[in-house]
Amino acid sequence: MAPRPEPTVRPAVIAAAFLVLILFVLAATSSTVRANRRYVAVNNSIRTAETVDAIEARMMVYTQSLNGVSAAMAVDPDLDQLRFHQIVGHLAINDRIPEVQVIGVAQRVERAELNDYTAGVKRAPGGALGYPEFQVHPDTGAEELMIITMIEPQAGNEAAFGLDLLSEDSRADTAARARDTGEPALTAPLTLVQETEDQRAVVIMVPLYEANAAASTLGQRRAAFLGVVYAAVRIDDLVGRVAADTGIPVEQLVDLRTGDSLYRGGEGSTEPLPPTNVGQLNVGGRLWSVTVATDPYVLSWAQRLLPVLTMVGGAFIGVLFVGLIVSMATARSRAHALAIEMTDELEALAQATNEAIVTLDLSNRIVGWNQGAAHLFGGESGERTGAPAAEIFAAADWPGLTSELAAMARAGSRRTPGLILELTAVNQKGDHIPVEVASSIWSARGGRFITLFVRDVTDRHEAERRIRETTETLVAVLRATTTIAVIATDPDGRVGVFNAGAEQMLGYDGHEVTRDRPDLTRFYDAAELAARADQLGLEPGFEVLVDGVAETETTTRRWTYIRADGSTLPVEVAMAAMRGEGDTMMGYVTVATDVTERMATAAAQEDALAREREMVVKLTELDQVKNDFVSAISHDLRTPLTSIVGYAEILGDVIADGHGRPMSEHVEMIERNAQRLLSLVEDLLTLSRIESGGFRLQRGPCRIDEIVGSAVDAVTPIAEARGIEVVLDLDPVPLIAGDARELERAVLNLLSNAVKFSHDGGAVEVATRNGADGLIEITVTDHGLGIPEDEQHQLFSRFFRSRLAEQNAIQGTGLGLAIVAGIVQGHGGMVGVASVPGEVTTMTIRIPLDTGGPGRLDGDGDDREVPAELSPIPSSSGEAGGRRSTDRPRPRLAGCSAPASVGASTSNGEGP
Amino acid sequence: MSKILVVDDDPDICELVSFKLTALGHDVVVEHDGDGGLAAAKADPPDLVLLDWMMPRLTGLEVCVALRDDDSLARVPIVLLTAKAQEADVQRGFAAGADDYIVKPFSPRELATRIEAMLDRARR
Repeated sequence: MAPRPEPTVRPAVIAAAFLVLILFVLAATSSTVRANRRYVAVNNSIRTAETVDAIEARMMVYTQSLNGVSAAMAVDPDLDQLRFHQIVGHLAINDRIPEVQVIGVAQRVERAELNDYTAGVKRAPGGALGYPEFQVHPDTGAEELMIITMIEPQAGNEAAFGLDLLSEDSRADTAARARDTGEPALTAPLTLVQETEDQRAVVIMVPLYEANAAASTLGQRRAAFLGVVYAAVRIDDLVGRVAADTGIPVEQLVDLRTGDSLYRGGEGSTEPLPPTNVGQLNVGGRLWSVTVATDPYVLSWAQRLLPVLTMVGGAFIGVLFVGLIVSMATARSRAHALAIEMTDELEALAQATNEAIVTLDLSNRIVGWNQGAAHLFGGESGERTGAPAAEIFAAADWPGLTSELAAMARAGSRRTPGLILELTAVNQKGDHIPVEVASSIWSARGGRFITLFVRDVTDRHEAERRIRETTETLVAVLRATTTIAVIATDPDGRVGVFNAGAEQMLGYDGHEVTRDRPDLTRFYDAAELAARADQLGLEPGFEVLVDGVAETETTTRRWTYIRADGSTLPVEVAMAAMRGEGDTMMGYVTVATDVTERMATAAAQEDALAREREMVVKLTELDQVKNDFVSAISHDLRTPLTSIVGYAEILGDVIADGHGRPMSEHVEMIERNAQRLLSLVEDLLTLSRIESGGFRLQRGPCRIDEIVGSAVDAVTPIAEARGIEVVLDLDPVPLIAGDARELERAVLNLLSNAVKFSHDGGAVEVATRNGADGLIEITVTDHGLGIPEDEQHQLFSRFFRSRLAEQNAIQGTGLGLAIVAGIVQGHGGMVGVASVPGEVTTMTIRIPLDTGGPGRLDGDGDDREVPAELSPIPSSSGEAGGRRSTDRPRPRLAGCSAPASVGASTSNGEGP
Repeated sequence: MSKILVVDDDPDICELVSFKLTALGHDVVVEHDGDGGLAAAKADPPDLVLLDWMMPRLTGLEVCVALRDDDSLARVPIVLLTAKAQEADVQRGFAAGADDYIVKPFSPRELATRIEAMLDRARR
């Protein structure tokens, strides 16, 4: 991933080498003492330079380790303790930098967030990784804290966990310095809180910033500052390590700014030597002075063997020079090897991630990439090395990216995080892949490099596209829903969505409505709303509409909408609450359907039900009529039977006794009553035949006058017995084609009714007319009880009996008129009634000359409808009444044999 | 010999009953409707009344009730002679004050027997 930094010979070292050379030339040619002293001084300065280099190399290793952690955290801001453990594990601090006591992360926390933060660490995700014992200490009460939340290794460092770095000045100052400069910063010597021995340590801090925040100015850095990654090193361990690397013991380490002594070792040199054994170095913003011990051997050797030294000075200089170079190179290569190993570790880390990581040099050429990048762009690492980065991004994106990278390069700080850009990557096959790119610039010995963290966001884009599509589909559905009104409001009831159905239903323009955002109540009938508010004990308003929605999530209720034109519309409104993340109320949605039709249907159903009820009442009435009929018929059958049976018994007794009243009289009564029974039975049979449809007309030429005459003859005995006069008024009428027997039965039924209902001594008139429209009229008029108007319409129903007939115990079965209606209709005619109760009643039969109807009587149902279709014919009854005359001559028509008039005086001597 | 009032709107039935009872030696008065029957009973209280039920103007039941309301006639035996044969009718008849209830058609012989029995009882 990263280019290996090439070892370079530092100018200071070259200068020192030349200085040594010059010094030794001078020493060889001047005084031996001076030469001797100078030799020691040169030797010391070399040792100093070596030690300074070694310390710097160690510091570089620490810093690089911390940078690795920091980079990992930039990639994954939510890095947890487990991941941290793995990353630090990669760094293998125990093997490689054992002198580092602890590596940790301290995060900046505001006091206001402290409780949440503490709770978060205590129950950190992953169960086992939570730290219930976590506690911030010490509590200074400051507004801002910087708390150590991750440490590695944890063993032996538990005391540092939860420490507030800002609670102690040195640490606080160092953290502030790191924050403000963006560079690693080192503390003054201090004692670690977890320290158990009398040991002092320094802490190196590397600042952490928000991943994509700008951090080029002081203000931006302070704003984006998240905390620090730090490493703590015991000073004794650091010195020991450096001494082990160089073989040169360190005598003293002093912080020049503060004057603090970091380290004091051995017995100080007693030799008054030039201060060439003291070097200075800048580590993490601190100026250290390092004092190395003079090599005792060199010291003694120089003092004792000066003469020899003088002689072999030149050779010695050469050897020393070579030694210097070799020593320098050794120190360099040691640091270099370490850096390479570190880089390998980071590379392993980079390879392990799915994210594509591409490293570019400042000329935007690819210098390395990880497995993730190979997977994303295609091609193994080596294959694309050296290729311009423009190859892996869409041409349109390239200018933007380069200017961003250039800006980052100018800003220069290796800690300045780049912005996250949305770009299009192009793989080897030429596919365009949407990606998110974060960039970071860093330095290595080989120069400065830019690392791009490229994340494939195809899946995320796909998900976003689906959401967008779903949303658009919903909007389209709303738009297409023209019969259902969908209106959505904010939590206060102001309308935000008004679909086409709502437009159509309410007559408002949807755009205007969503622009003006009127209150939802505007569309509701104010009176209805007020009534409902009263019912709920609320003020009329939106609260009334949403009552119950919060508890039940949806409500359905009938309301009345008021349209733009002021008209009303009955609707059924379902209302639901819309809730967002965290159950926050986003508003309400109402779905209304027009229930006008439904209500109409309901009304129609009500009507049908009412009709059905009416029918039931009618049927009940009919049932009653039937019961009455059964009762009447049994009475009417029993009465003649009584006479028959009774007289037969008496006859038997008379015959047995051989004396008594004349038998002929009794026989006559038996006959008469048998006859009555017979005609009753016949009526019943006739009607049942008509109703069952088995009744056929025997058609032939009929003379109406003959028919009327026969009927009158039949009724005469009864009429005479009661002194009733039957008056005929017969106009000549043509022959008709009909069933004479049935027609006679019809006329007879009317006549016997007329007689039955007449008062004794009254008159019954029978008339025939050749009416208009080819109809023949037969009217029968009486002046008896009459028929109440409210009963006239059911007069022709089977079994119907007038209540006047019941009251006056006038016998009858309720069959006569039903039979009349059946017969007349069978002839294509109709029968009607006109009656003024107590005065006059006229029954009229009208039969067409051309009876051409079916020869079959089918009275089923028809008889009941007849009265309604017929209009009363008072004119003919009036006319008949006007012409009524007892002395009217017999009909003049030839062949008319009907008796003209039957006088009341006529009597066969048999009274009732 | 007893005086028996027969009230029935059917002349043949009146004739039949009248013939049978006259033959047994009773004095029979015939009326053809309720009004006439009640008037005749009040004018000349009979020993027994034979009443049809279904009659014009006053029905047999109404006549029966009216007779029972009249102090001088309250104890006269009343026999209903009717075609109404249902049990409920019989109960109504007795409730109105009838002493016997004969359903048409009936045997004149049986009618005569019942009337004789009732007259006997009334005399005692």
